[in-house]
Amino acid sequence: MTSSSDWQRIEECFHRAVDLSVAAQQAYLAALDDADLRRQVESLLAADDVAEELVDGAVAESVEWLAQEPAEGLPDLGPYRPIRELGRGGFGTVYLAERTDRDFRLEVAVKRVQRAYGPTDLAQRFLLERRILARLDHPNIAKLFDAGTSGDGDPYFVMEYIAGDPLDRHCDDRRLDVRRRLLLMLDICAAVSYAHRNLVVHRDLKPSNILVTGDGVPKLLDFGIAKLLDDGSTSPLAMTRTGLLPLTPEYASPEQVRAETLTTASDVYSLGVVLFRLLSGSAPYDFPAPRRASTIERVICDDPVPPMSQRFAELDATRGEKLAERRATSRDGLRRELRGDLDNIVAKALRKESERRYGSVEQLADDLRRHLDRRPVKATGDSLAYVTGRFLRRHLWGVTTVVLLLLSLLGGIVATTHQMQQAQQHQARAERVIDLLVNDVFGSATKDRAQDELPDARQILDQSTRALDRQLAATPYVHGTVLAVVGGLYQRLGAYDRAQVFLQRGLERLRPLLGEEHPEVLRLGSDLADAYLDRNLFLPARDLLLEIVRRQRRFPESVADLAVSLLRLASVEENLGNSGVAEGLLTESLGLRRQLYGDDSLEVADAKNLRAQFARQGRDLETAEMLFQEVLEVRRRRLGHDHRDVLTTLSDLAVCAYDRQDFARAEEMLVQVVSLSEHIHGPVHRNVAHPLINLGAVQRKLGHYDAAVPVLQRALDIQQEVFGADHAKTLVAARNLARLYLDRGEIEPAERWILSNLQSLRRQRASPLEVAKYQLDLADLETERGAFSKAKPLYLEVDGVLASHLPAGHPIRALTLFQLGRIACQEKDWPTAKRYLRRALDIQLEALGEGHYRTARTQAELALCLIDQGQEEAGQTMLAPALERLRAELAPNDPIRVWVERRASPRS
Amino acid sequence: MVPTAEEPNRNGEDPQTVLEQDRVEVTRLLLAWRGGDAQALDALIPIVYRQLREIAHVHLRREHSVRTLQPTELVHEVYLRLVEADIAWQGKAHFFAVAGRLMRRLLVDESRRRSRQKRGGERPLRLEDLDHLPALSSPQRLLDLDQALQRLEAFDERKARVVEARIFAGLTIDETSKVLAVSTSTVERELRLARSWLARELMAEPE
Repeated sequence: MTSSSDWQRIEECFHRAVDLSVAAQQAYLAALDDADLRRQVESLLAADDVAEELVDGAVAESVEWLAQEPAEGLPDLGPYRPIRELGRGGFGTVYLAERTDRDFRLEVAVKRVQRAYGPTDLAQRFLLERRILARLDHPNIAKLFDAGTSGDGDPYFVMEYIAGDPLDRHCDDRRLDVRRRLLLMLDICAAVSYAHRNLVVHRDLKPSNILVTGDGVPKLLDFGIAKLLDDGSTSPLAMTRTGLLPLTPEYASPEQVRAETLTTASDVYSLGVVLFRLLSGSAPYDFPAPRRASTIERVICDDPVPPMSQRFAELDATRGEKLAERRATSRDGLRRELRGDLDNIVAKALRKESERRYGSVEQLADDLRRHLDRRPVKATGDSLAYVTGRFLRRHLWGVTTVVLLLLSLLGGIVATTHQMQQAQQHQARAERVIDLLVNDVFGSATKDRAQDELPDARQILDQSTRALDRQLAATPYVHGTVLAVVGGLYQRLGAYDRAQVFLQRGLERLRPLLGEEHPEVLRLGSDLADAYLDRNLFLPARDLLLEIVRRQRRFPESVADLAVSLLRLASVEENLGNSGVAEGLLTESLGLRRQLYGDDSLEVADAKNLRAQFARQGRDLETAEMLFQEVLEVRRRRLGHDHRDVLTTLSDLAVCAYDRQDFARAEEMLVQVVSLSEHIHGPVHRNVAHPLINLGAVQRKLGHYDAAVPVLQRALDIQQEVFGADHAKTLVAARNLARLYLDRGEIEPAERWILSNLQSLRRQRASPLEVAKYQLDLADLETERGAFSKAKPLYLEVDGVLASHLPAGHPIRALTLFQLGRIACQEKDWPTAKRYLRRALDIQLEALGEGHYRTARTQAELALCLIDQGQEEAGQTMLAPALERLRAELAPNDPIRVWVERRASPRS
Repeated sequence: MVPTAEEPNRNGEDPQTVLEQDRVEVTRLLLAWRGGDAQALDALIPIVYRQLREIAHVHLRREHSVRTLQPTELVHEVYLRLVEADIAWQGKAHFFAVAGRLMRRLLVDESRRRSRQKRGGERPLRLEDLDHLPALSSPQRLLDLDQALQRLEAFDERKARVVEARIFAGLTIDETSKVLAVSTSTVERELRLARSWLARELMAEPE
C-alpha cells in the first residue's frame, strides 16, 4: 500500500507534528506540499487521540472473554427473539432482541445470567434485581419491561433498549461546555436520588452505565448490582458479600473495595468520580500497572485525591488543550472554571470517609445548582475558617487575632453540636481548624513573624484552652485532639512544661477511645516522650518510647512514626550515656528514612544531624563537621537560607570551629547566627540563647571577657525564662557564666552561680556524673581562693565519680588530676604532685595531643613543679616549649596563660 | 512482579500435577524454540492457552476481585506458573517475546470461535453499535485489529512486534525494549505511530 520511503516520510512528519498544539499542527500540515503525504499524516494525527482506547481496548476486552465461558448459540428467550449478543457485563449477557406481535415490533435489551460461573445464589439475586427494577419508574432510568426464564432454565429480564452514547462520549462529541455537562449531571442526580428514595443503591455508576439518547435525555442502565436497603423478606440476600461482585474500580468508593456496607454515600462517591472525569477529562487517580486488588485498594482508600483543577493543570499542554476544546473553552478557561466551587464540590463528594461526603445525592445536586446559579456553595463550609484566616492574614491583623478567632471558632463549632450526624460534620470542620492552627498560623508564625506575637500567642493559648476545656467536655474525641494540638503548640512555643501537661491530658482522653495501639495514640505518646526529652526527663522518656517503639514495630503502616520514635529514643539513650545503643537506634532510623524519603530528604538530614551531634559529643569532630556540612546543604536547598533549621546547623558548625580551636571563625559565625536567630524567633527564644552561650564561650577563649559577660548573662536570662531555673540547659548557661567570673577572678558572682547550680541539681536528683561536673566548678573556685584544704576532698570525690563513670582516658579526668597535682605542688608534696601531673599529661597527650593548651598547661605545671623541687635543668627544658605553645594557643590575658607566666617569671 | 496465583480449584484434577507437567513441557518447548524449532511455538499454544484461562477464572472468582483483568497480569502469571523459577533472563526474554504472539493468536482464535457461534458468520458488528453499550464487547473488533495488524506487519514488521509485546502481552516499555533489543524511546515512538495507524484502520472499516 505504501512504499517504504513514503512510509518513512509519513513517520517523520507524524512524529514531528504529533505533540504540537492543534493550531500548530494545522499550520504544519498546511505547509506540506505533498497532498497525499498530508492526507496520510492528517488522518494518523486524527486517530492519535483515540488510538490507545481503541487498540488497547480491543485487546483488553477480548482478554476478559478468556475468563468467561465460551458463548453458546443464541438462547431461547421465550417470546423475545434474540437478534445478536450485545455483549457481557456485570454477571449477565445482554442480547438485543425483538418482540413481534401482530402489528407491533419492540426492540429490547435482554439480560440473561451466565450460570456457568459465579456464586450459587446468582439466580436468586437475579430475581431480586428484577423486583427492584420493577419498582423504579423514572424518565432517566432504563425501564424494566418483563422477566422470564430461558429455554435452558436461566433467568432473564427485559429492559428498555437505549439507543444513545455513553455520557462522556455524548458530551465530548457535542463539545458540551461545563454548564451543559452540569445540567446533564443534575438529571442524573435526580434519577439516582429517586432510586435512593426507593431504597435502591446503584453501586456501579459510571459513564458507560449512563447513556444519553439522541434527544439529550440521560438514562441510567444496569441496576444489576443494586442492593435492597430494607426489604426484610430478602435479608439473606441483602447481606450478600459485596466482595463477590464484579465492580469497576475506577468508580468504586473506598468502602466498596473494602467490601464494607454500602450506602447511598457510595453512589455519591461514584457520582463524584463521574463529575471529576466529565468536567476535567481525567480520572481522580491512576492505578499503577499491573492492576492488582491490593494496589487498587490502596489507591482508592489511601491516596489523596488532588483537586480537579490541579489534576487538569498538570496535564501536558496538548492534552489539556484538546480536553478544553471538547468543553468549548480554552485551557486557562477550563482551569479557572474548575477551580474553587467545583473543586470543592467534587472533593466533598470524593471524601474517603463516607460520613464526610454530601449527606445525600440531593445535597450534591443542590450544590451543583447553587454553583450554576452563582450562589455560594455549601462545600466551602468546611473552609470557612480557612478563608477567614486568609483574609485576616492578608490584612495583617496579626497572628494572635487569628489564633484567638480560630480557637473560639473551634470551641463554638464543637460546643453547639448535639446530634450524632451533625457532630461528625462539625468534627470535620474542627479538624480543618486544627490543621490551620498548626500548619498555617503557627507554622508561619514561628517561621517569619514571631517576634512580637509569640508571647501574645502563648497568653491567648492559655486563656482559650481553659474555655475549650469547658466546652469540649462532652465530646471526648474532639477534646482529646484539641488538647494534643495545644500541647504541640506549646512545644513549638518552647513552653515544655505546659506542652507535657497538655500532651498527657490529650493522651489520657484519646487512649480509651481509640485503644492502646491506635497509630494516633502511639504518635501522641511519642510526642509526649519528646516533651519529656525536652525537659531532660530521660528515664520516663525512655520507658514510654521503648513501649511505643515495640508497638510501632508491629504495624508496617507506622514505619514513618517508628523512625521518629527511634530517633527520640536514640537521643534519650545518648543522654543516658548509652552511646552504643543510641548509635544502633539512630542507624535503624536513618535506614528507614532513607527508604521512605530518599537520601536527599530533610528527614534523612534530620537523622544525620542527630548523628553529627553524637559524633561531636564523642569528640569525632571530623565526622561531625562533615555531617553538619551535608545537613546544611540539604537544608539550605530545601528550606532557604534564613530558615531556623539552617541557622541551627550553622550554629553547630560554629561549635565545630570552636572545638577545632578556630575561635575567630567561630565568633564570626556565631554573631551572624545570633542576629539571624533573633530575627526569626524573636529575642526570647531558646534558639537565641543557644548561640549566645556559644558566643560567650568563644569570646572567653579570645580573651574578650568584657564582651562575654553580658552575652552569657543574656543567654542565662532567656534560658530561665524559656526552660525554667532547674533545666539542664539553664544550668549550662549558668555554669558558663560562673566560669567566666572565675576566670576574671570575680569570686563572689562565680560562687553564687555555682552554688545555685548545685542546689538545683540536688533538687532534681541529677546523676552523680552530672553533679560531679558542677562540683568541679566549686573545687576550682576553692582553688582560686587558695582554700586547698576545701578543694582537695572535692577533687578527690569528683575523681572517684569520673573514674567509675568514664573511661580511663577521658580528658575530663585529666582536669581533676591536674588540679590535684597542682595542689600537691603548692603543698610541696612533690612525689604526689608528679604522679598526678604525669597521669594527667598521659591522658591529655593521648586524647588532646601535644598542641592542646591544656596539655601544655599540665606540662608547664609539671616543669614548674620540677623547678620548685630543685630539678632546675629538667624543669627549664620542659617549661620553654610548653610556654611557647600556651602563648600560641591562648590570648595574652587568658587566665591560664597569665597564671603560668606569672608562676614562671621569677624563674625563667 | 505479580505474585503467584492461588491454586485454582479444578474439578477432578490434581492441579499440582497438571501444573508440574506443563512446567516441564513449557521449558522444553521454549528451549527448542530458541534452538530454531519453529513448531515448538505451535506446541506451546494449547498449554499456555489452558493456563491463561485458568488464571483468568481464578481472578474472577477470587473474593474481593475486581473486574480488571489485564494482559500483563495474565502473561506474568503464566510465566510464573510455567517457566521454572531459576531460568535466566535469556529464557525469560524468550518467553516474553513469544508471549505477545501467543496472546494475539489466542485472542484471535477465541474471537473467531465466538464470532462463528454467535451469528454463524453473518454480518459483523459495527463499532457504533458497540458503543451503545461499551461495557459489552464484540469479537469482531479484535478480529479487525488482527487483520489491520497483519497489514501493518507486511510493510513494518517491527511495529507489529512492538504492538504484540506492549499491547497483547502487556509488557512495560522497558521490558518491550529489552525483548526487542531496541531503545525505550524507539519503542515509544513506534508504539505511538502503530497505534494511530491501527486505530485509523479500525475506524475506516467499511461496515
